[in-house]
Amino acid sequence: MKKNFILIFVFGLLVSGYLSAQDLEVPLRFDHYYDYDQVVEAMQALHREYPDLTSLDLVGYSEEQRAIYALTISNPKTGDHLSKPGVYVDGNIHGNEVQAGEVCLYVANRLLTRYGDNDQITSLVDKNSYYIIPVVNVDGRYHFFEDANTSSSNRSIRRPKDDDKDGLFDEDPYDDLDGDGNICDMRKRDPNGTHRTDPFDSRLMVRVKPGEKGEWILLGREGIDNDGDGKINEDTEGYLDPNRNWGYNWKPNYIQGGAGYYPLSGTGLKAIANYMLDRPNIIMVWAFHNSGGMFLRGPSTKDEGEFPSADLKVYDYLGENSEMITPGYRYLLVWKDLYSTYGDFTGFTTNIIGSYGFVGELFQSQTETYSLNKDLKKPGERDREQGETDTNHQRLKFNDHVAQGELYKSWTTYNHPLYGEIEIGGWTKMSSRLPHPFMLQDLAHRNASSVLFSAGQTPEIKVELMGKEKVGKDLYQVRIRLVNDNAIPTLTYQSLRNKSHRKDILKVSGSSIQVIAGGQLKDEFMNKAIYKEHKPQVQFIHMPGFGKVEYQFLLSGKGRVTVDYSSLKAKDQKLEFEL
Amino acid sequence: MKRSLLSLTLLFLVALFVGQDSLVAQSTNYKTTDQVIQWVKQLEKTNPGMVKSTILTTTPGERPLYLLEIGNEINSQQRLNPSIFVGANLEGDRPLTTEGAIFLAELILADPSHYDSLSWYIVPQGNPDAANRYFNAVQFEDSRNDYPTNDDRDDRIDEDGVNDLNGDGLITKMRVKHPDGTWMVSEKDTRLMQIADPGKGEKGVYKIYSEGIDEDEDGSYNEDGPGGTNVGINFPQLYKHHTASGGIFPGSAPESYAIMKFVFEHPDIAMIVSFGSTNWCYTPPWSGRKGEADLSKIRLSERQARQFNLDASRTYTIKELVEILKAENPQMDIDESMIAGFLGLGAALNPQEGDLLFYKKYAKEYKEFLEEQGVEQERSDPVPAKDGSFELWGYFQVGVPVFSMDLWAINKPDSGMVSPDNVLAMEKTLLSYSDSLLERKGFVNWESYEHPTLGQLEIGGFAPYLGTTPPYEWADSLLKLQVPWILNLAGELPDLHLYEVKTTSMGNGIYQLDIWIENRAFIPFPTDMGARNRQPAPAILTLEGEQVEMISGYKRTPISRVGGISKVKRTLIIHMEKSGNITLKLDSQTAGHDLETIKIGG
Repeated sequence: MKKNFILIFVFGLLVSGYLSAQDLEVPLRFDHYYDYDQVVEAMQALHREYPDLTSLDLVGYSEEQRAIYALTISNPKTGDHLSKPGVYVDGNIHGNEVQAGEVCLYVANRLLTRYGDNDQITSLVDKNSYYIIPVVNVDGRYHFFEDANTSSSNRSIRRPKDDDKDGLFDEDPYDDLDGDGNICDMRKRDPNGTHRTDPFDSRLMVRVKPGEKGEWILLGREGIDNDGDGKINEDTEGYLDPNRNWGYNWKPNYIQGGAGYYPLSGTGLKAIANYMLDRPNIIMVWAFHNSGGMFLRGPSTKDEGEFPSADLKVYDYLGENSEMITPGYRYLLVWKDLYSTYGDFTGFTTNIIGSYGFVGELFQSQTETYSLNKDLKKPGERDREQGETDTNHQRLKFNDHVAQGELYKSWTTYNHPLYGEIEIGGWTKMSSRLPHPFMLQDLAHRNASSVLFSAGQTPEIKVELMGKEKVGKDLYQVRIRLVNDNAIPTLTYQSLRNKSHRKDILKVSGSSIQVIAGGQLKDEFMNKAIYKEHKPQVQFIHMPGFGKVEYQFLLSGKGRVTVDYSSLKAKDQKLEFEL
Repeated sequence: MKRSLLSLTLLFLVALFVGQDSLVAQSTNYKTTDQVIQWVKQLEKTNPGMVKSTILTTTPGERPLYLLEIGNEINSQQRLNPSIFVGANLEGDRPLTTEGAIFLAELILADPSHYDSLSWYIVPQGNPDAANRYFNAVQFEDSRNDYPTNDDRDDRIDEDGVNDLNGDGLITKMRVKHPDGTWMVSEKDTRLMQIADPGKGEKGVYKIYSEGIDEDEDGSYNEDGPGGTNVGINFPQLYKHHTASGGIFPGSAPESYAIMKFVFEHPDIAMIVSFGSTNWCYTPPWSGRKGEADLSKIRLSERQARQFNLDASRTYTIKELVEILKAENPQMDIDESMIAGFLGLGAALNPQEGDLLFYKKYAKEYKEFLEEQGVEQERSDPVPAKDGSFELWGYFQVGVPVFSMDLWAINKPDSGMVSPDNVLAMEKTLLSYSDSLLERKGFVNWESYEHPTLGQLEIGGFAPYLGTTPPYEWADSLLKLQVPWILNLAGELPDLHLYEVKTTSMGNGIYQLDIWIENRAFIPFPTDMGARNRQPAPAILTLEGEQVEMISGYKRTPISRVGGISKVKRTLIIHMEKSGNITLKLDSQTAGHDLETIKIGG
């Protein structure tokens, strides 16, 4: 009786999720994927384990009422979270791009579990505030794991849209005909078909050359004509591309597909926009996607024109180091190396939030090699006939012998209501854009390290008294030097150009002090200063990356002088001296 | 001057004869937000079942943004009637337009035929924070809501606004002699100022500021006043980032976001009306923007060329493409707008040619309408819609017909100086209007003042709201004259019907149905812009019947396009062994419902 009772009690705990939450230990493991609920549990576990260094913020809700959480990492002993440079990391804005969630969890896990033991990580935590949103598209992630999908599907957020203009909304999605949890491809035998079996591996097909006999026609993705309109899978969920719904340079749907009806019509996205706007200290943004192996910077569209060259220097420094941290990945420019995208997150963060930002496209399927040749196939080098077939051959062998068949579904017959006897097969959902779990930790660690590298480069300003000289009966010439030894300025040059944000403020004050004149010192030897016309005691300055700025003041009076430096995105500093 | 007096006398006479006691006629001043809310609630109470109010959002100044719904379906789960959305005073600087919305609501309710098959959504005060500035003890024309904004990017927020230095309750201008001065007194009228043109030998003498002191002592005057975002330029069409009052991004103001959300959540909206700064009833929307794709030299991409069996190495005109694609797809309604959208020819910047046809027609009819009521065309030209404005968004992005009214303008400047770009001409006209009709109260004469930092200067200039807001006593007659035209336009909505169904028996139970669908209205379904942006929903042709098999065509056919006063034809072939009835239904949320039962066989 008692035994049964205990069993029932334990079962109840299991069902309620309590035991599984307990199962989620910190440090977290990165040899498996986390579905939506497990991501939330992981964040809760991290917060539970490190309550002093973290807060779990409810950012908002999605269309299907799922909660979007952010984990804030900040050491209260080094200041309020808004007073330190903000590093924002998110992932999984496209519902299928799930390993981005693991990368974000990895960043949090690394920072927290090594705090105190690892000097570099300790100082990274102490100097910044981290805002980590592992899953932006919570509905997308949930449905990616829960429903049958291709590796590319469930990208959209859950706003019904009449994609095929038939008056119905999302009425013809993919269908998992064979119930295997994947949406694969359909093919049918046809002697006049466009494809024939690849002699290398009967799972693959090649295009028929002129004069050759065909064997197969391709019927597209797994599905039926749900709405009886003669088309299959033409109106799936959405389509609202959450990375085209942001407020900077937004264009309506007929110009930018997937843009949504108006900027930030996505409820979760609007909540995240407000979350970021409430944190004006954010200076570095990382958004993770898949795939391709890239670190992308803006501008997002050609018509915006290039960033100021001083910003490019910062991007180049961070981008090139990221390339070395994650070999094979390339540092690229969105509109030029990919394509123009209107209303994307990069445009929003660089022009409205006023930060630097990278989009990380995680994972390269060409790393799934099976060859004696040690050189990795050059990414981007896709010779359609030779190269693509070659990569597919290797990937199939990789699937067979390194992943034990888990990435590819062999062709299986099926009786389709419309097409008759067909075969269903192809790459599975958890493949192609996602690393097999055994490769996940390496991907997560390296990309997290790119984030941490840039986090180490957030601005830290030192204020020094450069010189103090009596130049008159009651007149002193005082020189202040401000130094930033890190790569990232206190404000982007794009923000300066847009005049979108307040500059840093340098205030000189004292109870018995009067500031007669003040301005930037352009040449200390020639004593060339550009004096500000009004209110010299308040100077508006901008700190470059890897650089210094010098100011000169003419003061009268006596006693204590206080120099206050305050910045939106760097920690405030104070300098005091006697006149 | 004499002529304008005459036309205004006629206005008063009209008002006397019609002599109704609308709320506008009974009131003595424009309405504050509180008074608007009172009116909304009162209307709801006295019209149960026909009027429903909703709060769309709360402004940064913590005022509710109200929307009124009028119609027979306010409590219906399923809506059958189309509706018209009316937004008024989105820039907050035209209290007359709020009166216009109030007047329109009461006009609608005065006759059930106005709302029994049509619903109305009315936002009488689209920018409540700015609208209330009209009623401040110190009046200053300002379209911004109360969102705190560090306009000058210094160390404080909203710290340096205007000040009423001479205590006259009006914010005007200060002119001060300064070596850097670029302004001079105008020869046309010594009250006016103009920029000196050195090329003409003119010498700049004055600097001009808005009335006030430099609170934050930074050398700039009144550069960071309270607020905010101008809701009326916070919409996504031609939105400009990083402007003084445009906001952070389109929809960053809760007011504009809530309006866009509402409109897209109500696909029954068939027309949008704006009471604001433009007048698309009087003249068609402006068409002079540069930068659109050249539709006479369209080059297809390789993929597009493959898809349509065309040549990527040459260019086509839009007409050629229409012809070719129409021939290949006889059952589809192909026209220029559709192809432009489909091929991704980029943003439309100007009203589409086909839409200008109906704008021009109704502008002509509207002028005749005004003439019949005794008005002579003396008003100055309406101004183009601003970038980021509500009406531009409605036309280009919602894709429905949009009409607007400014409800009052000063008379046309004297001949020879007609364009609104000629600021001096407009100012001179404002002066003569103030002199003749407002007892010179519209202009504060320059008077000297000792300014704490600028020294000896003069304060004077036009009174706020002079060019946008007439004396309240004129409101009732102005609205009586113009607002009823909106009800005329409401009768012009696209109107779809089953025109004719021809049944041909082909033997063995096979029947061919030729179905003609007509749009009885002049306005096409949807507008050309709606066809280009593919936003409006199609009408659905449904075939219902027992034991009917489709041989060619489907039981459900979307009809995406029927031109103005035009018909389209669809052909369906069915198989019905036994004779019986089938029903054809035509349904559109915006363009109506029709039904026909057809006997097959027997």
